[in-house]
Amino acid sequence: MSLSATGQQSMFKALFLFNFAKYIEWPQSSNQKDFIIGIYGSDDVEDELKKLASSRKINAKTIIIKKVGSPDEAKGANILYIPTSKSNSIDEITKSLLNEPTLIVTDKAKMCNKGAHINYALVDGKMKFEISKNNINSNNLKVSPKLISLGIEVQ
Amino acid sequence: MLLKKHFFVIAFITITISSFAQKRDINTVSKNDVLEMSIDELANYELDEIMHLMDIVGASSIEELYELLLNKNVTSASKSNENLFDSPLSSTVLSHDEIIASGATSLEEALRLVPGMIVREKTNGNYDVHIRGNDNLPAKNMLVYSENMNTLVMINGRPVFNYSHGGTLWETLPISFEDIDKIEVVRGPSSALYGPNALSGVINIITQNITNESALVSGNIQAGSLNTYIGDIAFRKKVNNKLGFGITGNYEVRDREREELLIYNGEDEDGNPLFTLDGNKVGSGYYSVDEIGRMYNGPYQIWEPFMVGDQTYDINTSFPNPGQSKERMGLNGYLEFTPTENASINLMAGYQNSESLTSSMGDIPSPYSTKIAETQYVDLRADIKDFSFQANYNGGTINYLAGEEGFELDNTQFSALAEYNFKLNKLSIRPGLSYQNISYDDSEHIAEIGNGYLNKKSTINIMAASARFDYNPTEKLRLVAALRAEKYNHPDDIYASWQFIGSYKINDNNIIRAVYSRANQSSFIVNTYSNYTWNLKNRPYPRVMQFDGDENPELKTMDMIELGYRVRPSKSILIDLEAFYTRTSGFGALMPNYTDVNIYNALEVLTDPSGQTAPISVPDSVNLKHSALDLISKQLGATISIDWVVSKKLVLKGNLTVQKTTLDNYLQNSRDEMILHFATDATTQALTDLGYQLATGAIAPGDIPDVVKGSSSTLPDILKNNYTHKATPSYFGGFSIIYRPTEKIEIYPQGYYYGDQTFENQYYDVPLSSKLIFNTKVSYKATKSLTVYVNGKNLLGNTSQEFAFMDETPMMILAGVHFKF
Repeated sequence: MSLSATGQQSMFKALFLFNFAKYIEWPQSSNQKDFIIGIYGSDDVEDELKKLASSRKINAKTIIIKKVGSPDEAKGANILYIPTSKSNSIDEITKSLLNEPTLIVTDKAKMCNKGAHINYALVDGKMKFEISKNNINSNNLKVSPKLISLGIEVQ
Repeated sequence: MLLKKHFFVIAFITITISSFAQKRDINTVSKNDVLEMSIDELANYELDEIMHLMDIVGASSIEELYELLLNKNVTSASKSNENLFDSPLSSTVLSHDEIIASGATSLEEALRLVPGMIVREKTNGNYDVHIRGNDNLPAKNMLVYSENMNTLVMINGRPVFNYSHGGTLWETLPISFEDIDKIEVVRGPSSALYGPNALSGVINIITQNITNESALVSGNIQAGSLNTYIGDIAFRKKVNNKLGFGITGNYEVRDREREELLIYNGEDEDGNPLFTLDGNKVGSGYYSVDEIGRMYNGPYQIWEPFMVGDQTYDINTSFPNPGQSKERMGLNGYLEFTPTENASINLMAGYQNSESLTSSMGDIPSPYSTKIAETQYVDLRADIKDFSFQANYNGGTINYLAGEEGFELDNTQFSALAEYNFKLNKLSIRPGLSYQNISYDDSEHIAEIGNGYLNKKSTINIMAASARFDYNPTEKLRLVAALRAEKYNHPDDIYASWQFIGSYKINDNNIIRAVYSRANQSSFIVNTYSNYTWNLKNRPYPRVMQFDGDENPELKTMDMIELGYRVRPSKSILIDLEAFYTRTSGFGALMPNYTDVNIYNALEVLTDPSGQTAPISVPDSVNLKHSALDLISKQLGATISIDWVVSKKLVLKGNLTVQKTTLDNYLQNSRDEMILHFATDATTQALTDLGYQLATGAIAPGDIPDVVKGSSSTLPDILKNNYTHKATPSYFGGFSIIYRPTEKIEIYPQGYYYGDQTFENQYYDVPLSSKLIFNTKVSYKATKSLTVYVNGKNLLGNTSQEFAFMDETPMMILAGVHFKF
């Protein structure tokens, strides 16, 4: 069994992040020059995102992949991805990003209950995502119903 | 400025068009299509489409792991592709990726990952490989009888068996890891499907197909301790939908853990050393090649140089590279032609040469010898609808015992097999016909006829008819009967083999099976045609030993009853249980047939009134003939193996076999003891006869010749029953842990273990202690195409010998790269 068995996973997570942006509306987004995706800590998703960033744009903006070391550094990001290894920091992150227009995406069970907006979840061994409209709205973001219908809605 | 604007518009349109051009219909793409897509291509799809593609590819690694590890397919158990879970026989499949991940450095070592395998390293990179056991039978004889003559090894169904002596010369297999798609191991008698010599099972090495997904270039190269360099590379190209070709090459070289060679049997009965080296008394021990060249047994040089034509053969001819255990290279070409959907033609051809220093197949003062081989093959496989045809040629020259005249043989082997698979509702019937023509010829490699083992071209023909019936009366019940009849030229006899199998699938997660099967060995060239006159120039006596074959040898046969149970207690766990009882008879070996003696003091002995004068009697010539033995081996055993995908980061695997083998009609005397028994009996008989003649006046004392001759062929009456066979360990198995802390790092610790054994040789009984060999490979996937790794072998430093008289197992560290472009 090779490493390739898991290589796909990071790529799809990155593709999901890239696509979520199409269904989210950020306030005053036109004022910002770049589209910033923050990665909290290090994760293989970063490499995949960098590949996307080199050839793609989101809302006609250059994608910037920013490695984030503390909750404060996450401010200003359009999307913040918190990998499984950093899930313990969810509380301080949501606190720090209170009312900030940042989409918080996590990768551990029950994270939407702790304030995450979208959370990757394994259902029957398949990668799905949970989504909380309330959490998203509380950060002054608007979410398209299409995205909610594609995910598993968490109230 | 306007121009610039237009340029951007054109560029945008071009990018958009090219993006759309790359977008394929998600309803028609295959898993492999998706796997081939880059992240950039995938970014063209909408989220719902990506989710659909992810379902196709099973992007969740855990699902993929279940599929890869717990839901494999096997073809060798039934000659048709089926899920391993449903396989009606005890079967294991090792995939290419598993072999690479494990850090195995040779095919034989990779087999340590398979349940039920006994794999012992003899010298660095040279192994003894057995399925389940029955090792070294008949015992108390030459090392050649420790070769595994019970397992049929094949490459894509093409036998790569040594029909000269029996066994597999692993180093002469032309292929390596990058050739291989998977290795399938079927445990238990399988001659009904694959022909003779599949007594304990078959090992079928299946090479990779050439598809659009095949990497253009792939390779695996590593180097490390003991000047070990192992590399192989493959180039594959699918030219169009119908045609693909490939070229592969491999090279391997390794040193031994020492340069000296063991000289054994160097003590008399009282333990006094027999030899001298530069005038000093020496006995058994490790000596350099130069020292061996200067050693004497009384007035006789133990490795006396001799002439073959105008060439001098000496210790350096026997051991051209005493410090090197193995050097091999192989080249293979593949051509795949698929003219229609229902037809495929595969042509494979290759060349290899090898030199290995490992256990001897002859009877020389050292247990080591050098084997040198240069062989070629061509294999054609054609499948047209339900008809399949395979024809192949193997040929070349193999020197089984470098430096000894008569052991270098030219080999030509043709095989052809045709089968047809009828499908009738719930029944499928597969009749088949096969023909094998196997010739070995030593006449080109001996100075004169009479110096060789065969002294001519000798041939074995096997014609066979077979049929396999696979019947599914209900969805859960499966009944299989496979039958085969073989007609040999020698023995002039027909042998039948069979498999009767019933399996019942209780539900998707539980299946039970019962098997009754029989398989037989083929005749081997040395058993049938030996005609070797060994003039013992380097020993005090006997003066000559003659080895004769038997043109009507009895063929070894194994019967087995097996019960099996496979269960998936949860989606992530697969447990396989097998319990087996085998009975093997029809053993044969080159055994002492009679001994002639010379008595030099008959008159003194017979006329000594005190009766104290001991006869001076020495064996003059010994005749050994391939003879059937009454030996019966009975083995009772069980294997359990568990594969558990704990999480996407952790996979655990383990297996254990326990067994007990008992022997009936076991001859407890060694070959040399039997020769001495004959000699003693011949002396006693000759003197008794002469004494009677003297006493009756039939002969006068003055008429007694100076040298009285005697002869005996009376076997000692010493057969034992219920003898515990200790050459097979009572327990053995392995375990592995696949740990992937991140997606780029993989850590693969793996262990192989076995219990105590006693190896019974013609000279000694050698105890071999239980052992755990622990290896770990750590891989870092630098890019999608390139993985770098460090490979640690025998990290616990358990250096004890794994095989009698052979080298200790060194601790080794290797580093390497695996690439795929």
